[in-house]
Amino acid sequence: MDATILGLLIADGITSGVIYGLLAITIVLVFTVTRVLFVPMGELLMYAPLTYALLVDHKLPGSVWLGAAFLAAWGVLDLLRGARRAPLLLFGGAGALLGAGIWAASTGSPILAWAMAVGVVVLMGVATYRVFFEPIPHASVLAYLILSLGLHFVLQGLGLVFFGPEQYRLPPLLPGEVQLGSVPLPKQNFAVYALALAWVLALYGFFSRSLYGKALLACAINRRGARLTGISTREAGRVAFTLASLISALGGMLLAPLTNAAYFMGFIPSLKGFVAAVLGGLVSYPLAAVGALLVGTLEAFSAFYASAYKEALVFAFLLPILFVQSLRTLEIGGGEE
Amino acid sequence: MIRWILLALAFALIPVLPPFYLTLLNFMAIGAVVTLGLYLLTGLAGMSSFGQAAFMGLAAYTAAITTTRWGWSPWMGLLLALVLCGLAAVVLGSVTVRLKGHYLPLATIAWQMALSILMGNLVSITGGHGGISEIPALSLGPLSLRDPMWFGFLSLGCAVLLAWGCAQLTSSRMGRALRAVRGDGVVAASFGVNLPLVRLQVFVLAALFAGLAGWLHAHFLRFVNPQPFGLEASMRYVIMAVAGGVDRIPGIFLGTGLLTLLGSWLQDLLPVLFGRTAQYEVIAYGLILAGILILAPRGLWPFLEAHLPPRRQILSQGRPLPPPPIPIPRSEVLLEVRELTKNFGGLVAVNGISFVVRRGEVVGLIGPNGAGKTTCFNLITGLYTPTRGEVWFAGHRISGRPPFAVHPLGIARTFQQPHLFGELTVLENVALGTYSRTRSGMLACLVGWDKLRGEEQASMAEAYRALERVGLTHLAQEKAGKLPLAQQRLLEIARALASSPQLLLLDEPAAGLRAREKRELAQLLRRLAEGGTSILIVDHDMDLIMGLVDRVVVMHYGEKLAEGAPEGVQQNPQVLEAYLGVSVEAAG
Amino acid sequence: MKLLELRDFRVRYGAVEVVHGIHVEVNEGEAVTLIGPNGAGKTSTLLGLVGMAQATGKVRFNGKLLPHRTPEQLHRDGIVLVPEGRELFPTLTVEDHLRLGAFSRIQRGAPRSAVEEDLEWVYTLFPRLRERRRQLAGTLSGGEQQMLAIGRALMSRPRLLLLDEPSLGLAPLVVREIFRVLGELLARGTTMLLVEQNARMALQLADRAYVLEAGEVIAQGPPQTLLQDPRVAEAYLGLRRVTTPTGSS
Repeated sequence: MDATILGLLIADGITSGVIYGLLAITIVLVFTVTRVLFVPMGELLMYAPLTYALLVDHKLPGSVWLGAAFLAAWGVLDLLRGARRAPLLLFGGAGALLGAGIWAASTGSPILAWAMAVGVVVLMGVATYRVFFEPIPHASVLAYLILSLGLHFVLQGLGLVFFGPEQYRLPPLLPGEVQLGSVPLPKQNFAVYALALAWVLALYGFFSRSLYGKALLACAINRRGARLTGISTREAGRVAFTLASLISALGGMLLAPLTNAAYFMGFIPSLKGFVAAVLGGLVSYPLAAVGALLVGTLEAFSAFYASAYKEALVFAFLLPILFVQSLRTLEIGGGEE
Repeated sequence: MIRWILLALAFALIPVLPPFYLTLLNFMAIGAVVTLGLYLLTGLAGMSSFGQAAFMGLAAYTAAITTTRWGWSPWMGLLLALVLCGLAAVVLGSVTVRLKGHYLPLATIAWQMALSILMGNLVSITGGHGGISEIPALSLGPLSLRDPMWFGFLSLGCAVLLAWGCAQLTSSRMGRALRAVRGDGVVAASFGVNLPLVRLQVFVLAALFAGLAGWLHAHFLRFVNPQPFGLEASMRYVIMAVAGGVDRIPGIFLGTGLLTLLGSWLQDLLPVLFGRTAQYEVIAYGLILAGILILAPRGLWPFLEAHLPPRRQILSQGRPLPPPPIPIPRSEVLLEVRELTKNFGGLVAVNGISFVVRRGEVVGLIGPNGAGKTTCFNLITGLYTPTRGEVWFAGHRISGRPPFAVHPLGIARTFQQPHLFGELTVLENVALGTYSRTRSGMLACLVGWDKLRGEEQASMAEAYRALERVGLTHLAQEKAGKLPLAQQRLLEIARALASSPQLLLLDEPAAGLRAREKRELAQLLRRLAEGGTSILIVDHDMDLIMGLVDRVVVMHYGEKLAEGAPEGVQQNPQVLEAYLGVSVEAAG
Repeated sequence: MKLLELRDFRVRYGAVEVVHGIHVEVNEGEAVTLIGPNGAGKTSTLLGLVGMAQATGKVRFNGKLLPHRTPEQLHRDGIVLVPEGRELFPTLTVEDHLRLGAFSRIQRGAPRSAVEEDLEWVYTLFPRLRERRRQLAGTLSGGEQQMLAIGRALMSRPRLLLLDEPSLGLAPLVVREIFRVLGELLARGTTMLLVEQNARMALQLADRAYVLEAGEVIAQGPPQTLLQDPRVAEAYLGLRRVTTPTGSS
């Protein structure tokens, strides 16, 4: 192996590590605030570029319909709970979303399509929480996990219906390559790095400076204490899901020009995000980020040496991570939260 | 009884079923073998796995490779398949059983993904996505099971046999231990259950069930490929179990049967409705699962069961367990607490406490709320490890030992808030107390060996006797969750008595009781004390304490304030000031 | 004027009822205490009142019947609990806690200046908290944590302050300090419902008291009368056996 290959592998590892890191951050964010281990995060990540690809091709993707349907379901649930104004807004929102989708598809404007793609995914993320998780606030972490795995299958299955089995390649935001020593790097990589860095800084600022961020942290640290302080855990959950799906959507938009986008390509990165998050005990952001970079690098190197088994090796990497965790926690309770 | 008749009927149907339904029946039976594993894992122990199909796959490929390539007999293949599944489960289980519950399912997802990838990519061994064909049919002596009808007898036989085993396990000491693990790990550990070990055992057992199913699958279809052993399949087994009702064996069969049928209908129907481009059944499965979890989290079986006559346990009148030997004579020191200290972060909850309890003695541990009394109990029973100091019991140093190792030496406790298993009957709750006096392991319980030896009957008889001592036999068949507080407290005492403890730790047994109930409790405790049980009791009811104990230890801010005979302590001005909230000037 | 009125108030955990239909009233500007032995249902009453436990019965607050509501909504209505065990956020600072106490007010558009004023006021009440404003709650002593829990509740400007065993596990000096502040709050017109095991402190502070035993109110009235009631002495810590002989001497 020469220096160029080494450099390429490291660059490759860092780029995938950054994506896994973004996913790991969303996983930790959603889990600490809502106790939901949200497996379909990867599907949300893929839905964004796929929606974009169809819109610029003057087609109205099914994801827009799904987003509208989720909003309508949210409206119905609120209606059942006796709310008056919110359901009207939500039904209106569902209609507006469809309208905007049709408009974006008819113009085929990339900017509109970008905004639509991100918007649909964010709405879908938060509506998923409202429609599937909020109705069972006292369920166990395990029940949530089973449910979220079920949703993964639904979203992946629908992804095939909406977008077909094809892979799409999006035009990069930053075309061209940079030469770092002997290693050629697509400029788009830097867009991904910049996005990740911006998110890390934004989240840091949000959690350390803003009272809303602190309220979210409070929910994550002590749900009971938060409720007694008048912080609504439902609202916190919605904020967490909104933020997480926004991170995923933007991540997906920037990633798609580098790899490809297809309905089935979200799940594996999402699982790798989990592997990374487990290193931080599913609660620590910095450790999750370190884990993600480790997973990315490991993957790049195993792709070089044993490409057929690279995914298997990454998942096997979970075993030593869990082993370290189990040495750290020697508790009795174990079973449930 | 009805249930077994239904099963007999299922066997009788095998010869008359048309081929399509015979195949379906075989799939149901094989599915049931997997989901029965989930019954043990999820229904009893409250753990979960999304890797059962991977265990199936491991076994199926082992069967395929050993028979087609190495020319082994299928039965040898089964043996190797089970060994491999067991080993994989041990590795996966041992890194996760100590962790919070959600790590195991995450680990099983990773295992499932890794194995799926290997099945597809290790082309030289597994044949890749093309799979391995021409696996030989099974034969039992001269009888070939090539025909799905004859195979149906085998697969359904396996399912029924395992269901019987699961029922045996459920009503055994290990079954109670597993349900205790799910309900409340602290109680389980306090009654001698080694949580990580039991969790590991049941995970391995479930993996072996899946392995058996995988082997059956390979020899039924006589062809293996990666597709039926992917994450989707694992998910489908979880859905089957959850849909029917994962904590009841009939629910498992109901869910497996229904979803297998549904699956075959969906495969025919959905493409007709929506065209053939997508896997609509996967979407349907996901939505079904979501609907069940949100609308009927306990599955469908409870709705049917409501129309069936309730099942009664047979109250055992057999011979109770042999009493444990008492090694040390009366008045010897039984429990000694030396300079015990416990810090939580910066907070000193217990600070240098020392006291002893002699055999046959009743000692009261009193002090205001927050004085550290319950922390003391948790230190003695091993729930907490002391920061400094030691606890000795009957000649053993027990500080630093886990609770499940402390309890069998003869310490049993009750909890301030009753920690009972509301879904179990009163008698079953008490029977958990006999756990550390009995020996049958997971496999022995699965095959009913504990009942053959009479150990289970003895446990139940012992539990019944403990109920007699607290006067709750008339409620033996009720669900413990329905009992009012006073009876729940008595039930906790009965559970502790069932372990035949040398030392009984009672944490505020009178709290929340009415005057009459307190008097009855006092009588019960006095009878126990007269019977020679050593007791360490925490309570705020001075009437109860002073009328019962030989000695009082007063705690205040984690320290020992006073110790002595009840009369002396009651006059101690420091005690009055600190504990009773009466200032010395006012009282004097 | 009655601020809070409980009629046939019941609290249950699953199938087990622990508070059996009690009547309790709290007037505006008054301190009322619930006393009684452990397990009498005092904490459960408070938890039922703030929506953290399953409660039934009529709850009339500020002249209106309260339907079943979530803890967040009741908090917004002004029923605020300082819970047993304090329920702080160990990795947030003292000042974070206090500002979060005003979070739901800020969400409803309370002016920034009012929150800053209240913050200043809480720091004046508890100077110890001002000294430790940048410190993480997990590093505070037990007494400071209790002060912080009370301060956090005050930041929401409660109509009715519920306190669950504020003296639990605290040294006498700290208990006196906390009760001094509670007295100050009472003098300023804060209405409070106090659950206490330290009956002497509670009865000194309160205008009226209810004695609970096994989920029922067995006596009620002003502290002086209650102290003479033999039922109280018996229910509460078995005071009879101690006070009678020493009291008569």
